[in-house]
Amino acid sequence: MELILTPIIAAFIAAWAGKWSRWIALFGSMITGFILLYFFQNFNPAGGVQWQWDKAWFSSAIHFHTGIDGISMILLLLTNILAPVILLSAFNKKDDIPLLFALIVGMQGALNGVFVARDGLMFYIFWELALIPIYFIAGLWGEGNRFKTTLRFFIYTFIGSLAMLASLIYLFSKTPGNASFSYEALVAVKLETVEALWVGLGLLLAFAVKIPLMPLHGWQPSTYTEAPAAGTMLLSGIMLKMGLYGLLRWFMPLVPEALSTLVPFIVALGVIGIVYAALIAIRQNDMKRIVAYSSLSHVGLIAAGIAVAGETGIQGGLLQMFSHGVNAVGLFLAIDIIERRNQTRMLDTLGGMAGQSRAFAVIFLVIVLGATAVPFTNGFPGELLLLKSVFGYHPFWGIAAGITVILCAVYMLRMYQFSMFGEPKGTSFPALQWHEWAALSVIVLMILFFGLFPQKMLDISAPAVKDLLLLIQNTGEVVS
Amino acid sequence: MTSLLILFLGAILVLYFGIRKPEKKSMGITVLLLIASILFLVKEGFDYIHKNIPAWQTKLVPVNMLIWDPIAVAFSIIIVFSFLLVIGLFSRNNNIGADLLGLMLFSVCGGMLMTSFSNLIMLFLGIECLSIPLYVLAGSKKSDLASNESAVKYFLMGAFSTAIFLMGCAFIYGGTGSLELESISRSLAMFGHMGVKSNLIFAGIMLLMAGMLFKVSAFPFHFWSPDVYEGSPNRTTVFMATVVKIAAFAAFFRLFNYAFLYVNSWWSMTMAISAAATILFGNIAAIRQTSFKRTLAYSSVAHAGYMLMAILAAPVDGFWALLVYLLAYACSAVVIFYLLDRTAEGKSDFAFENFNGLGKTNKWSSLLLVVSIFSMAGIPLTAGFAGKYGLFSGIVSNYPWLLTIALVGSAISIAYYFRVFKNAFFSSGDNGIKLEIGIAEVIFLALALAVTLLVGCWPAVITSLQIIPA
Repeated sequence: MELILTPIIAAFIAAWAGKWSRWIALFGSMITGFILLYFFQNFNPAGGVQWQWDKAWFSSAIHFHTGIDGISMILLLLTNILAPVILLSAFNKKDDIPLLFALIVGMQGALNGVFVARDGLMFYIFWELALIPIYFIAGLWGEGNRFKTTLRFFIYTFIGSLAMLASLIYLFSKTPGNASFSYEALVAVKLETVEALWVGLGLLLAFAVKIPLMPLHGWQPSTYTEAPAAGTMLLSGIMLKMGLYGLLRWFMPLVPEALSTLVPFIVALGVIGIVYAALIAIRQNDMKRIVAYSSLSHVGLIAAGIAVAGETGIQGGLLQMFSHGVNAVGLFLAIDIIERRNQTRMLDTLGGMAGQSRAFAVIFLVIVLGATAVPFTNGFPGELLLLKSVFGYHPFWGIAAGITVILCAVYMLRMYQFSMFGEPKGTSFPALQWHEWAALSVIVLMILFFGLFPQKMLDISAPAVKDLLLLIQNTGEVVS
Repeated sequence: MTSLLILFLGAILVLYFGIRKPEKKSMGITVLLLIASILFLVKEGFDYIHKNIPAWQTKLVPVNMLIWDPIAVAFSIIIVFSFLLVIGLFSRNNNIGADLLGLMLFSVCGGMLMTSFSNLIMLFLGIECLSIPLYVLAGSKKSDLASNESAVKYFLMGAFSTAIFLMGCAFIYGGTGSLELESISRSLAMFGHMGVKSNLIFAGIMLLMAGMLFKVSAFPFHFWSPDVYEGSPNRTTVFMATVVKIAAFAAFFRLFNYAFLYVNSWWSMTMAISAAATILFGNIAAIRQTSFKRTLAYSSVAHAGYMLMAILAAPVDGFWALLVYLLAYACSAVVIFYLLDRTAEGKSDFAFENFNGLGKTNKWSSLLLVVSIFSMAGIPLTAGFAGKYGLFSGIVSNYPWLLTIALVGSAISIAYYFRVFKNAFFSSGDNGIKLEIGIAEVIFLALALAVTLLVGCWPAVITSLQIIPA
């Protein structure tokens, strides 16, 4: 509850606060972070869903019901650590700033709402709410053909959301006496296989668009490329995880009856996406596009690993969601820094920055290595677990997915080499400013810390994942 | 009853004032009348619940042709409320003459008859009382050719539909021997119970449905509405989109969910198909328009399609959904038409381009625009979503296919609703419109905004009112 309201209130104040808005937004965002930290300190991973807050909202059937378990906790940590970083990265945008900061911090509130919702309709509402700030961020401060791009993005995701709404309402109509949208009630609904298939497809459409899975990724590269840096970071760092989280928390336990039919498709699409996106990424010249496609490639692996529905896959998926969020934000942040100094982010016009700023070169290298999943960076353990799980599902898909490691190294290092080495093409590279330092150091710390101690992250979610698996196998009750 | 009389006598009074007094006063009187009638409506609702209806009322309407039950009261309140918003926002520079004001008041009286009838004769009177002033209002911009065209078109179409409606009444009378909803319902319950189908009554129901579908501008009787909406002066258009639509749906709901409930297998599939076609047609046609006003006209057709779903739902669910949806639609339509009207000042058309640069110069107006458009499109935490949710959950178990079509329609509607954002916020062109909004208008706009957000964030504020027995 506090996690949702604090940022939203901060957003409203920041929108009208003129030149103070950036500080108010940052303050609100960090307060939220500290509240979460307090929760985290007192969090018992094995304690089920904690800090529940449950009040009737729309009607007796629709509650404002929040609660945090291990899975939510990881995504909340991700959201509330990255949100201040994203705010910091936007600190020297010139015009219309109050609204931009308000939208970012408002978005943080909406995302927290998505990750703590324990009620179907509440989840839907925050899912939609999270879409609106990013629509305006991308539309107002984007580049290129931004209206067309953002509209395409919005329509893609809105169609998905509506399909999800239909599925949720259908499930609701099957709960005893049309009584409840609560997670427990929706999970308890038993469906015929055909029904389950349709309901599952509806949910999957929403999540697959957001992830994005292969045939539904049409909105992604252009939106990533044309959105302003802060918007891209929000999208790739946090919003993608909404789709993965939905897959994990809502899709799989709600329609376990349909899993045997749908999972092979999800795994196949995920893995095809991995290879397809990686191959495209190798040929790109625009740095943002490279990272956009690499994102597509990474989330394909996460989706496939989660869909296998084993403990290894889900744990690896959660770890990798966190790491990918951090790495993607780090990469886009670095690209933004480069672009601000060179007025370009095309590889063929860049070069030689390593000679101009040694510190930045080192930081950028750490981030790139994290994204490439080199051991002792945060990308490695998650990817390992995911590959293991996909391989266990079927060796063919496992091997195909394994290619990603090689291809990823190719495009990441190519990007690094072309931009940092060689003859300097830019005139000069002004030193990093304080807010850039702050943002980058948070990212680097996360990369190294969770590269060395991934177990810390796994411990948070392990009991919750076990409970979830019981639900999926249709044998467990919802622990609350 | 009292509120109806207040408005009716008030309308006559306003006409008299118009002869000599400056128009400003008649505006003030009208606003007072409307507020008084809302208060009396609330009182009537309580009277009905506590069963102490004043004796003079039953004497005045001897055969019990009007029932002021909570459903009628609720719809009447939102009719009067949206009329209040309309005249509050569309009377700039007092360009609204006492004659037009009087006509609108008469029309509102007709609308109230349509919410509270318990006899088909009363419904017919209500429809006529609502429509005849509208024919004049549609043509009230005398020098404008489009306005004249829309008046003639509306009149011809309206006259036909009234004839069809009357024919339906006659058939129903022939089949059941009564025009009262109670006894119609009782005889139809027999038919429904025995599983017999009477062709005469069936034809009557279909004709009545055609007449009502015309009034709410639903497929296949929607052809008049884009032209009439576009041609009429803005004030009349928004009046049609709000007051008339609420009244027509209230009547539609009452007629089909009271009188014809027991034989709903006869008509529900026809209505479902009509709803689906209306949603698809309205939304698809709206995409290609270049005039924002015409887009809104088509979107209003699409909204009629959604609202038809309320009549297909179970009566109690349908009532709440319809009430919330109508309120949401009225509040957002009034605001959007207001902005449309203001941005078009000094321009010859209502193109999307009129909104260029609005976001840069008018922060509050853009907030209004965003919230209202979101409400129309059904984005959560606006009243439009609360209404849509009610409608969707009402029909999901019986008409999953209709739900699918409605969702597709909603997705399509994003394409044209968000187009105005492109002009207002994303366009680089800045023609520097600066809207100056008077204090009275600020109050009414804030009222509409508050209702939209309050109902959106907390629909229980309406749906938990204990006014109808579940």
